[in-house]
Amino acid sequence: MPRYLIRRLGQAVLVVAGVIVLTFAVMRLVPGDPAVAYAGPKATAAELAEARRRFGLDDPLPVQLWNYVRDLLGGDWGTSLHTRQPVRDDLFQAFPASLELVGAALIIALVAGIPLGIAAARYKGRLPDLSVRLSSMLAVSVPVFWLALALQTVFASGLGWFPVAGEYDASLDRTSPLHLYTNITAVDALITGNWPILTSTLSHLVLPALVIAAYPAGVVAQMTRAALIEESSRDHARLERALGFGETAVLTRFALRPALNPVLSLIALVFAYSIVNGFLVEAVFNWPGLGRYAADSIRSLDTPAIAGVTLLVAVLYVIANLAVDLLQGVVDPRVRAR
Amino acid sequence: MTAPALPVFRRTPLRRLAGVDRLAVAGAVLLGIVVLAALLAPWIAPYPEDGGSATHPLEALLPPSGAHWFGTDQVGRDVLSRVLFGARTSLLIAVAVLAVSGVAGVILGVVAGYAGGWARDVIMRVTDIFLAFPALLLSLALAVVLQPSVTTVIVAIAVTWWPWYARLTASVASSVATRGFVDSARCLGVPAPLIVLRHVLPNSLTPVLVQLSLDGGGVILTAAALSYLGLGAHEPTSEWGLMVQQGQSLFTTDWWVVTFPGLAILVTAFSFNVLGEGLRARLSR
Amino acid sequence: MSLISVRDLVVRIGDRVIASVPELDVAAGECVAIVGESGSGKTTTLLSTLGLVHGADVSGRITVGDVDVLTASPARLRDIRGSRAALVMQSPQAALNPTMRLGTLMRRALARHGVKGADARERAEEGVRAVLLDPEILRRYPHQVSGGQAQRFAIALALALGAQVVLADEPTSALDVTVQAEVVAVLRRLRDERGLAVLLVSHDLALVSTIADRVVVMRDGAVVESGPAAEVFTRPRDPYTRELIAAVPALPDAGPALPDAGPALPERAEGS
Repeated sequence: MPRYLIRRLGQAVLVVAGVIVLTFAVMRLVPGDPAVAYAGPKATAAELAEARRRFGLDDPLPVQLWNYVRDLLGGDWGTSLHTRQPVRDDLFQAFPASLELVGAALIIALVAGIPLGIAAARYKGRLPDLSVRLSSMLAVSVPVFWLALALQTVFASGLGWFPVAGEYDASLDRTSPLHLYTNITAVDALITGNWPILTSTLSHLVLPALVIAAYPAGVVAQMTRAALIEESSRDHARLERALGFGETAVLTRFALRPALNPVLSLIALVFAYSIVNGFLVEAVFNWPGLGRYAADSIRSLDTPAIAGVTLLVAVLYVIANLAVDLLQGVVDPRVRAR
Repeated sequence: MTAPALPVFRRTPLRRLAGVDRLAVAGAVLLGIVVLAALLAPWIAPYPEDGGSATHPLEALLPPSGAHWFGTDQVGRDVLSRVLFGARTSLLIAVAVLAVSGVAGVILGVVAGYAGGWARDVIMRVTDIFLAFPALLLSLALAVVLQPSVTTVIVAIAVTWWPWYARLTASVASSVATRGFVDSARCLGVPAPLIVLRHVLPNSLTPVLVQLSLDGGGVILTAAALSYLGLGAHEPTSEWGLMVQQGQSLFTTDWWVVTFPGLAILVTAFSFNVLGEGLRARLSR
Repeated sequence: MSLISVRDLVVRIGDRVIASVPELDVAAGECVAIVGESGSGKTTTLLSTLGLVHGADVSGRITVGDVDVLTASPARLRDIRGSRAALVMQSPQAALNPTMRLGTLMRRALARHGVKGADARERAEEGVRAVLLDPEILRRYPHQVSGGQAQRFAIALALALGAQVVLADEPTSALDVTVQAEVVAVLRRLRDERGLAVLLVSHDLALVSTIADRVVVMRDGAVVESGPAAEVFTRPRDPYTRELIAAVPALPDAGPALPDAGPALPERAEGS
């Protein structure tokens, strides 16, 4: 394994450790007493003391932190106050749905953003460029929850083109039950050939995925444009022109690949951002993912659950970053050589 | 190297500059309008008392008309007036967050970039950790444990925002710190704090200012999202995210209650982005 | 008959003339060198022969073979780029796409000019061998080859595409002295054995004296002197040329020997 990979892995582990400490610190800021929240307002002093002992709230902070880390590593992410289930199980259930939604959104964003970025770079300074730039700035400026409400009102409630809410038509569970493998509905439906659920899921996906895609599509279009313009002003682009390739060929057949590098590293950042943006969209479309879970947890001040969601997303971000670094080795041979 | 003296683009530098400036100017004008609306809200709002706790139950949910351009909300308040007052809340949050996180980030970044060594390592690792949380996520967690209010929103967002400026400043400062004039100042025995103040800071500031204007949009969106989730401003404060949340069930029947505050968020975030983009393009040439 | 012919070329940006060349011809088997310092308009002149100068007004008459460069359609222009006259650039690795194996670039360039399949493979290997490289190099990425190899590969590209003229823009200034000699030796051999024409742009008089048949001296966009290399070097007419030659102490005996590391022309600092 190249040295830079080992260094990146070490950094990632360090960041995850810091993320855990920071999450712990934030949760300790809770003004209310978690024991009260758990035992209920009418609990007796004995019940409270029991709850405090159970949560280890009497221990000194470093001990509590140590216990917290030990439990996390041992797979115990605490118990949710509102579902009374282990947080880890809750997250395992909710996460695949979020992944499905954000995955669909990122695919839309790449499929739309990269060609738009190419078009803008090809016609730099002209009308296509200006319209791509302005619309991508609009896309990153739109409040997602508002866009979600607007699309839902117009295309679902109003025109009836798409379902209003949910992940798929629940009545299908009776007529064509779904076997779960990955817990990602669309993927499971695809690999088991469950067409009714697949089509239902896809039609439910369209609106929320489009809303979440707005931001990454704008960012990807802008980044692709900038990277292509930079790449096509380099020496190698001049050589490619001198070999008889036209502007479009230089951009798509030569500049695009090195230009995708910065776009890819952006995707990791955008992925985590989109998961969180997805929280708001899931709430509007009642999508059974992390966002709905987070919203319910926020409403009931369910600190272990919120800590779990926070930790999961932050760790995901670190992993996504790491994955991108590995991917860059595939796209850019210079990185591999390092 | 003997790079050819020729620019490879078709437009002359002068026209490019003008084109870029147009974008920055458009953003500045748009943002200026929003700022004016915020400053002058008590005087230009048709029903200034509606920006607060006034209610007119008999005039609830009137569609847009000459008397109420943006219609009225569930309790009969003029939506236009509330949108105008909402600009105050949003801009206040944006300015406060950018000021707090900008100052904190620049100070830490300059220290990290100029001092180098372990100070740099520690500061950079801490920023790594903060950057692993998407801004909205950490602010969400913070806003849950603090009491919902405008101040909470400011604190929560500022806590997640400073690392970006620390990063940016550190990289600029460390490249400035190795340039000749800083070296010669150091050789002349100029004390470190003075060097930082005179040379490193001014050079680091331009990219940070551009980044601040680019980020204004993000802060506005995050603040609106927190309020939409009920973690920020609460009644009777006029706040766009809150207005959307309170009106969301009415979207199909009384569209104006939700549409106008949402558009206000969009326009404000857009103006920040256009301004920042224009400035960045100019700076990076 | 000349492969490249330039008449009354004037390149302007706004009101400023950045290159003005009344007459320049390059015939088969001949090496013509344009010398001058940075900003003298030599690279602009070189690029204008392929119509690669953008953002400037180009007037006059440039022909490459039977193609009138300034009036040809963009498609016709692209057809002759590489296949009639090919560019070799200054910075060897930066001139090659970092994400592409040399063989891929070669294959795409050949396909662009209508050579595909086994034919293309043969032409690629033949071109690479002609510049004394192992065909194995086609499997490598730019960062895996040396500067000298990269420059020779660029020449191989020109040969494989059937170009009769190589337009070399400071082809050796980024290389070590010994590697410079290699590249120059390859160019000289191809000129002598295959009748390849070379239009060389350089600020390095020592290098130029080892290969050029004719020399054009440019300063501030204008040609100050031109003529057979021997004549220009031994009996310079223009004071500027004399100044240039005086700055290179070893010149008179340079002859066919390898260029030494003698001082090059002062580079004018240029922000770009």
